Amino acid sequence: MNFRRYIFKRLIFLIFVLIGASLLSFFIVRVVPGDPARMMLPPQASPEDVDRMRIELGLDKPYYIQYFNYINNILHGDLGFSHHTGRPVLEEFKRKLPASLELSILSLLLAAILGIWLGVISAINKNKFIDHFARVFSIGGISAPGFWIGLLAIYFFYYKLGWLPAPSGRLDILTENVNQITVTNIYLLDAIITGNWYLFKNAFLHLLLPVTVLSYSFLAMICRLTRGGMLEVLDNDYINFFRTNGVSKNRVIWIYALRNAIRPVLTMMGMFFARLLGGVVFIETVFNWPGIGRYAVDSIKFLDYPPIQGFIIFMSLGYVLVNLIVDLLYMVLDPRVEY
Amino acid sequence: MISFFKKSIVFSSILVLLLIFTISSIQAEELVVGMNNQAGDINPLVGLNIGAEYVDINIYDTLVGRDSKEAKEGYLIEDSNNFTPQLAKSWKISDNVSTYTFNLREDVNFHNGNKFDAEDVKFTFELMQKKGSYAEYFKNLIKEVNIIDPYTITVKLNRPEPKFLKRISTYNACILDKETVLNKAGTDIEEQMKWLASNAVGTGPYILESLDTNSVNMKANNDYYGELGNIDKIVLLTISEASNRRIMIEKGDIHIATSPSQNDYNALEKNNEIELLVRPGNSKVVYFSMNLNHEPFNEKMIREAIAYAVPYEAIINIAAGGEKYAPRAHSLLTSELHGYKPVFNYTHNPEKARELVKEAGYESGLEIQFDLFSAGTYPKCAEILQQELKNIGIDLKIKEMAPPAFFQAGSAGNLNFIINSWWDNVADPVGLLTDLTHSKSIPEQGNWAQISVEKIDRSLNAAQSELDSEKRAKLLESVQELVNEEIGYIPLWEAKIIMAMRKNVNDYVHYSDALFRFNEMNIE
Repeated sequence: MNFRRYIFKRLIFLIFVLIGASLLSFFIVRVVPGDPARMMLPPQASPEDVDRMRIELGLDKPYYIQYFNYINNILHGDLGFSHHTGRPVLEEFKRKLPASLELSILSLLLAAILGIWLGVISAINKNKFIDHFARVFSIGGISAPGFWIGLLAIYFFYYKLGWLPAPSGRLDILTENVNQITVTNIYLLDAIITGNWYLFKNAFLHLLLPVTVLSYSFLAMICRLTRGGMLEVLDNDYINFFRTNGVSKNRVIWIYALRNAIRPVLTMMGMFFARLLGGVVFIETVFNWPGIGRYAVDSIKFLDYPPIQGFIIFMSLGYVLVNLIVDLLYMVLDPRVEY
Repeated sequence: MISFFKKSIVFSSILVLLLIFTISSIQAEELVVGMNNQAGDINPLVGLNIGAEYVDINIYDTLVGRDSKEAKEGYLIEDSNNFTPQLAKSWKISDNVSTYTFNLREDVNFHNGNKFDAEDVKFTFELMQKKGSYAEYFKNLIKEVNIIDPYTITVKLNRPEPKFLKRISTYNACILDKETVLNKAGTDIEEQMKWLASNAVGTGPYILESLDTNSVNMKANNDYYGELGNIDKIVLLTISEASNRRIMIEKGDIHIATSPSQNDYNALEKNNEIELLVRPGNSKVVYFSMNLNHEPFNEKMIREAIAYAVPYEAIINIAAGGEKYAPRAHSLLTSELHGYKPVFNYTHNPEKARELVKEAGYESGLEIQFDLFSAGTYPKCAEILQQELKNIGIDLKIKEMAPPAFFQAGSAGNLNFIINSWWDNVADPVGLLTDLTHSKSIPEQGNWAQISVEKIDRSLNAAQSELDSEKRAKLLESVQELVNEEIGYIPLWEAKIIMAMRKNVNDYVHYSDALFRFNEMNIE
């Protein structure tokens, strides 16, 4: 199939996914027991106040009208108003998405680099010490709860050793208002663009622990998958053929073998990235990270419909786009793949 | 390739080491509060989170402020009988306590330079009546607001209200800038509410610098007409994890940590640089409540059996850290409230409880549903109770409920047997008992036990407009006795406000609304 036609087809498919997601998110929040108007007000609020709030939220109208209004607003770029934070949902997403994006990209990058490297090293040193070490290390990453590792890391690196700053979010507590100096709200990138090395240092130190802890569990899975894939590929005749023809060992392993072993890893990474984009609540809670995941969870606690709906639609969009990118990357890695 | 990775790792390690430097500790004139919740919507008319209330009370001013005195324990506490001038330099109360005349200060500007006058007060009071979480209170209370001259205003009430000054001395009655609100949000009330949710222009001692879900920054208003301590900058930081709040206050990165974990009380108390403050709660009592309209709670003997079955000491020790931090409650009112009478004196007596269950005709045992609001240590309390009730032949089925479902069921009068707490935002005992025991509060406004006794209603109605404090106290005492006879509520413990504060923070006054007035505080 023509490359462009394929992308076009997938984007058309995206529209249906988004309609489905909007319907699902719309109804799912409404079948959950609880009255959002009641949750928006303190317990002492009178029934009249609750009724007034219900009208203000548009909850007195039939479902189909509420849904129509919702879709109409989305098409006009309005995701609604987040009552528990007192701001429009879109504005909240703009503030929180860069925080999640920065954390996700760096965590995935670290997990990919170390995971693939460790996986390959384990495969070529099968059943040797390094392989056993990698196995134990990976099991630790998969089985230990992330919030626990996060708390331990804070305890040692901040509290005991004092090497890293307090878990106060993206920057030091008393950093001057950075909103005025940021461009993309991805602080590392902004620091580079504006040449603000103080901001870079500050943001980098705050990223170190959450990125390391978050990447650990993903790293472990990537490592195991890479090792399995590599062992399979390394047994093939063409690998021996390269070796006997004098191609260097490193080139055979890191270019020819890895390229063939990495496809399942790539799929897995696509899934990880989409998951990371949605924010990882435990890491955001432990490190006080103002990301999109915690925002979504807080919205559920307050039964704040618009952010929950917006979050589900955003996540669906993220999953579909990441999967599309992964599928396209297959073609780059393996020219035999056609759509 | 391998050597490339080795080089990368070495390079990265060097970079990290270069970047790690001594982390600057907080400056003397900057105060950081580690909160367990977030500010969120800061509209003072809403008051959804205490984090928002900390912001409001420091950015805005009220007409009158609260006075302080030294408590017998030696710390500073609210003097509930006296008020201090704020935006009103003086006031006059009519003999029938239903007309309040305020003489306003003439030298006050809002943070944006707008001049403050009576128009702003009238605008705010009228907005309070129209909408907001506590609007009904003011709506039913305020008859009219009249401007006598630009700096004199009269508020006429529908009934005598001796607590009016107290009601308007907290965040709900923060005075807004009429001109700014109208300019920014127009005359549409919904738009005004939305604008106020994330913006604040007040006359208060601090100016809002930035507001995010996990942090709020405020700086001192150097043109403030009133008292201003030495704190130039305030940061309210949301730190959800109690363990993080503890280590951050121990390291000195934050000055105040709200709601420390019960497990950390000992360690914090032993720390020479930190004081663990245990202060009176905001009239909050934690209680079990039974729905008198549901079976088997329509049977008084069963309610009494449960009152005997509760292991009060064990629950307080395990779920609240012990009597020191959570003294046992003997009424729905806390012991420091006016009119308090320790009427509830049941002790743990399983034999007696078992006899009562049998006497009520449930010899073969019975099953009761417990609607558990999963918050804090409530699940622990429910488990302890479940174990105890098993011994007297009651099989307690615990049904966990998320907050939205819990409150909806409560408002619909459908909750069966619960653990909960209630408070009044100005610690008014009449308001609190009205919410929990007056028949007009069934079920939406708090009387989830569905107590309906005419004598209670009458006494509460009389107490509301009683001006003589002794007579008012007598009425409240009789209400507590009557409520106790019903056994719809089983008071457990008085919830205290507990926080950790570094010892270099001075002059903290504990007010009954539990809000920090940072301008009164100083840092050494």
